[in-house]
Amino acid sequence: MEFYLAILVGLIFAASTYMLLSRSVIRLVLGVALLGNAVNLLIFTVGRVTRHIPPIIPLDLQGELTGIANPLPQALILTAIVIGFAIFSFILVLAYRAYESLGTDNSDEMRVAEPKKTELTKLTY
Amino acid sequence: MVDPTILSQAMKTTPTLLADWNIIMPMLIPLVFAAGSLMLRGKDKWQMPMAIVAVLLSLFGAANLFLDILYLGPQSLTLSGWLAPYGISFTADALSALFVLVASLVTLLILMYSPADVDKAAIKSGYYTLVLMLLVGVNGSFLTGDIFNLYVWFEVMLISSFGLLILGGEKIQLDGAVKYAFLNLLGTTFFLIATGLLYGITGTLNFAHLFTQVANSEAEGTLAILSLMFLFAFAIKAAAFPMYFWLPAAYHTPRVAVSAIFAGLLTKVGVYALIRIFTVVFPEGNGAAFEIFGILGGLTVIVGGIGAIAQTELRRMLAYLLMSGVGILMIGISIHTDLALAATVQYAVHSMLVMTGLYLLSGVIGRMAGSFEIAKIGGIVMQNHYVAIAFFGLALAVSGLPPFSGLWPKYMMVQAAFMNDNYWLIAAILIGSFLTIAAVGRASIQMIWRGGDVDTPDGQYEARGQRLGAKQLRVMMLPIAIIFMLSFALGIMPESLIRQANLAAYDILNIAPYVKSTLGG
Repeated sequence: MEFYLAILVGLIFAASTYMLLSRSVIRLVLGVALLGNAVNLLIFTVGRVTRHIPPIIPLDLQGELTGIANPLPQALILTAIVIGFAIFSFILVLAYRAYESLGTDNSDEMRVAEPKKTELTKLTY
Repeated sequence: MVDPTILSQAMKTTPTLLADWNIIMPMLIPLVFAAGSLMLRGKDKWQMPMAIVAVLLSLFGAANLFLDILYLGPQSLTLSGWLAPYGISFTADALSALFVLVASLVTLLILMYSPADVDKAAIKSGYYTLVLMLLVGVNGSFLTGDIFNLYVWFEVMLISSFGLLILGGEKIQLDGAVKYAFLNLLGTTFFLIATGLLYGITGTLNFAHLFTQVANSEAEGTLAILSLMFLFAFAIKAAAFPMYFWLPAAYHTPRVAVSAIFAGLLTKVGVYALIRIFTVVFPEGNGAAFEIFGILGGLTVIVGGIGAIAQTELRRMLAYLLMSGVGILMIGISIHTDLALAATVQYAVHSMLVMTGLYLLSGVIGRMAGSFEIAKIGGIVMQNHYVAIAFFGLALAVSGLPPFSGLWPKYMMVQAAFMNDNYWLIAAILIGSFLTIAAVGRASIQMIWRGGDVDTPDGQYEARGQRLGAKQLRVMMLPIAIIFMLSFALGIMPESLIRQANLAAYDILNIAPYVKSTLGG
C-alpha cells in the first residue's frame, strides 16, 4: 500500500513542479495547491498505513498495544490542510488582484517592482 | 482504569509551575493583544497604545526569560499535560532568549516610528494587529522545541507578512507580493516535506528527542538528503545565494515601517532555524556538510555586495546589504567553532538593529527628497544635519567599521576562519565588506553631500519632498537615534554583548542541557 501511495505522491509532485515552472500566475496557484496536497499525502504515507486497529486505547489495557494505527500524522495533516487552505485563498485573491491591477497574468511581464532600464546616471564624483 | 504508573510516564501528574510559563510569555502576550486589537477593530485610537503595551510587556517577558536562562540554563515547558516528547514543547536556551529579546526591542522601535509612517487606511486594515501577529510568529519560532510547531510559527509569520506587504494595495506592492508569496511558500512547503520525511524516519518531532533519535538512526543516506532539503528551505527564508531573488523584489514595495520590520526580523528567523536544525538534528551537518554553508555564505556576501553597488534605488540597495549580512551569518554556521558561533550570534543582533535603523532612515530620507531613487536625492546634509549624521553612522556600522557594532563580530569571524584555515572565507568576508563600503560610500556621496539631483550645481537644490515638521521628524528620528546609540555603545563596549554571545554559542554547541531540560532525567 505504501509503495503505491509513494508513487502517487511522486506523480503529484511532478505535476505540481510542472505547474510551478509555468509563467502564468494562475497555474502557479494551482501548482501550489497540488503541492500542498502532495505533502499531505506524503505525511500520511510516512506515518505508516495500517488498516485494522483504530488509535483508541481500550480502558482495561495493561501494557503495550502494538499494530495500532498512528494518529499523529492525521493531526499534522489536519493542521497542514487548514494552513494550506488559508494560504491558498490568500494567493488566489492576490493573483486575481495582481491580474486586475497589473493587467497581466504572465510573470515575465510583472516588472513594476523591478528597476526600469534607464540610461546610466552620470558620475558626479 | 489505566494503571497510574503507566500514565505518569506520558502525562504530567503535578500542575505546571506558574514560573514555567515564562518561556511562552514573549509569544503569548502579543497573541492575546493581537486578538484584542482585532476585536477592537474600527476603534483606531486604541490600536497604537494597545500594540505598544503588548510589545512592552513582551519585551519585559523576554528580559525576564533571558535573566532566568542566564542563571538557570535552558528552560522547557511541555503543554497540555503531556510530557515531552508526546506533548508540544517550548524550549529556550540563551540563543532563543537573546533573539527574542532583540526581536521584541526591534518591534517596539518600529511601533514608535509607525505613527509618522502609517496612515489611517492602513490602521483600519489592521496594521497593528498584523505587526503583533508577526512578532508572535517570530518569537514562537525562536522559542519552540518542536519541529512541526516551528513550521506552524513560520506560517503565522508568513501570513502576517503577506498582510503587511500588501497594505495599501498599490500596483508595485501586488507585484512584489506575488514574488514574495510564491517563493516563500515554496520554502515553507519544502520545510514541511522535510519535516514529514524526518518524522517517517525517526518517529518524533521534538527537537530534544530528535537529537537522540537521529544519532541512533541507521538511515544515513536519507538523513543526508533531508539535511539538504532543510538547508534549501531555510536558505530561501534567510535569502541566501542563490535563493534570494524574492527579497530585493519585495522589500522596497511596502511602507517603510513594514520594510524595516521585515529586514529586522524575517531573514534572521531563517538563520535561527538553520542554527537550530544544524545543531540539534544534524550536529555533524550530515549531507549538507558545513562546507556547503561556507560556499553559499561566501557567495551570498559577495553577490550581496555587488548587488548593492548596482542598485539605483535606496531601499533595493539596503535589501542587498541585508542579504550580504545573511552571508556572514551562514559563514559563521559553516565554521562552527565556539568563536565563530559567538560571532554569528553577535552579528545577527547587530544586523537586526542596524538594518532596521537603515530602513527607518531611508523612510526619512525618502520623504525629505520625495523619491527613493538615489539620483533624485540630494543635499540631505544641508536640510538636516542629524539625518546625515545618522546615515553616516549606520553606514559605518553596516560595513563593519569602528566605532560601531559591526566591527567586532566581523573581526571575530575572520579570526575564527583563520584558526580553521578557511582562507577563502576570509577573502569573501573582506571583499564583501569592501563592496559594502563602496556601496554605502557612493550612496552617501550622492544623497548626503551632492547639492541636488544629478546635474544640479551645488547649492541650487530645491527639495521636492515635504518639509518634515519638527514633531514628525522627532517621532521618526527617535527610534533611529536609539539604534544609533545602541550600535555605538556595542561598538565601544563590545564585551557586554560578547559575553551573551559566548553563552549562546556555548548553548548551541553543548546540547545536553537543552535536551535535558526538555526530556528531563
